[in-house]
Amino acid sequence: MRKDWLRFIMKSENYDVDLLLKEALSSTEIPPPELVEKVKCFSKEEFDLKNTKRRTFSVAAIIMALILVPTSVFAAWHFLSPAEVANRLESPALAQAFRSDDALLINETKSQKGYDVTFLGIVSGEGLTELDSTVDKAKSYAVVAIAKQEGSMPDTSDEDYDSVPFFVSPLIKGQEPWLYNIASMGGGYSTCVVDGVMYRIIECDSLEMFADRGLQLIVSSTDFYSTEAYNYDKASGLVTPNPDFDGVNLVFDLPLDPKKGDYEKAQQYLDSLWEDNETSGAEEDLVPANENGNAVELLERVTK
Amino acid sequence: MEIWSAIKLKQSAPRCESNEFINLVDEYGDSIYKFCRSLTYSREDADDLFQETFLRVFEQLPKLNASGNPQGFLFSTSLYIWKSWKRKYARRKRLAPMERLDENRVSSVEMEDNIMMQEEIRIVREIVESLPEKYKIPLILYYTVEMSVTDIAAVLKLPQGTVKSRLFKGRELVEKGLAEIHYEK
Repeated sequence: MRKDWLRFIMKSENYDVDLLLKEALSSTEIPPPELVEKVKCFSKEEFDLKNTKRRTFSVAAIIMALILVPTSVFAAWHFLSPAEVANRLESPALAQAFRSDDALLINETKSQKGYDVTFLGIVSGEGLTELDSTVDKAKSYAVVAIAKQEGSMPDTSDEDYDSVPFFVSPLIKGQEPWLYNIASMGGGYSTCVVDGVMYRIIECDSLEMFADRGLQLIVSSTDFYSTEAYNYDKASGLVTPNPDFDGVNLVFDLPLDPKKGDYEKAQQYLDSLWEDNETSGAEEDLVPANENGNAVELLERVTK
Repeated sequence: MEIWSAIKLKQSAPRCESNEFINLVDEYGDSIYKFCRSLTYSREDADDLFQETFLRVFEQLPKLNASGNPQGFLFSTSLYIWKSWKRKYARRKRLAPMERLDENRVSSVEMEDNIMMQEEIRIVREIVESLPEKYKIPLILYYTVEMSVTDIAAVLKLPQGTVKSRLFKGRELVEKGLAEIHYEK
């Protein structure tokens, strides 16, 4: 359906990328009045106070790291631990969670196409990061380190930072990966580059309820889930790397304790993921296309 | 009535310490906010960037005056802070659909039940979002902030010819992105 309307638009006599950009990017949005008032109230003292507060927070995080990191028994010698990564990203609660007994430290490295990718660990909990706007909802956080076998990963401020994209996502055994991945599961990520190694913390709705079904974690050099990178076997419900894919397409086991699974709750969650889209027409777009694989391609393309 | 006025005057006095600053907020606040919303992934981040921009400008009013180009100074400051934040706090990105840039406008589209239009807007935004910064920023300044090429050149400290060429290339990349979607099997 998306292709149809694009074809319609692009063949239209009025098709003009300039007009499309005007339509898509123009905005009549204005700042909230209270924000404007707040800004107008600034004084030098407030400026100083604001900056001091931020510095104090950073120092506190560093002190926490200095005190607590040596107690961790985890960490490959050349990588930061998940807790250290969380501290780098100024998520002290998440760092603390990664140091708790609830955290699962994996530390498994796989190499492919000149990259060493290490699945460092995973933890679940509520309100662990500022990134998580739904603090009353349990979320899962996994940390992955990506290093080049020769050279360094580009810094986040470098222009070529996104030249090789990476997509890191959990997948649920038995669920179509193009429909159920980090993007549809309230996901997000934070990235930092330290000493030439890229660390990525991914966040999504809690995975623990799926523990009895089985989970995988994929890392691919794509913008989104790609059917070119992975083959999905309906019988086993698992994905495997497509050997013909020219790029990174790794699969890790995500060994959560099956006892934490809640099949019924998980099913309700899965059902709810697409309920919202029924009203927006998204499901109408996806389901028919999904049967012949086109939906996946469209999802990938629109994110490039 | 007189008492109320007196209280109001007393309360508002600190805000009037710098009429120049307040005029700046009034004149450029809307366009800076649009810019901040386009650069960031959430309203909260946009609010932070907006505040930080004016905080920095407040402290550097003498420099702003010396620049002779308050608009350029403001947008440069905003861009600089955004880049600094990226370096300092790294990238934080939501994979869930981005917040709509203009809820009022989209909601009116929804009222017209124009799904195609929504899709069109969403995909073009996503393509722009995925562009390298050197193309994305000029496009945002041109289409969202509605800045002239001359002003964009001043903000980005680039020759006008370079801005024109980046806008051209940016449009070309958007068109290419749309064509790829169209022509792929």
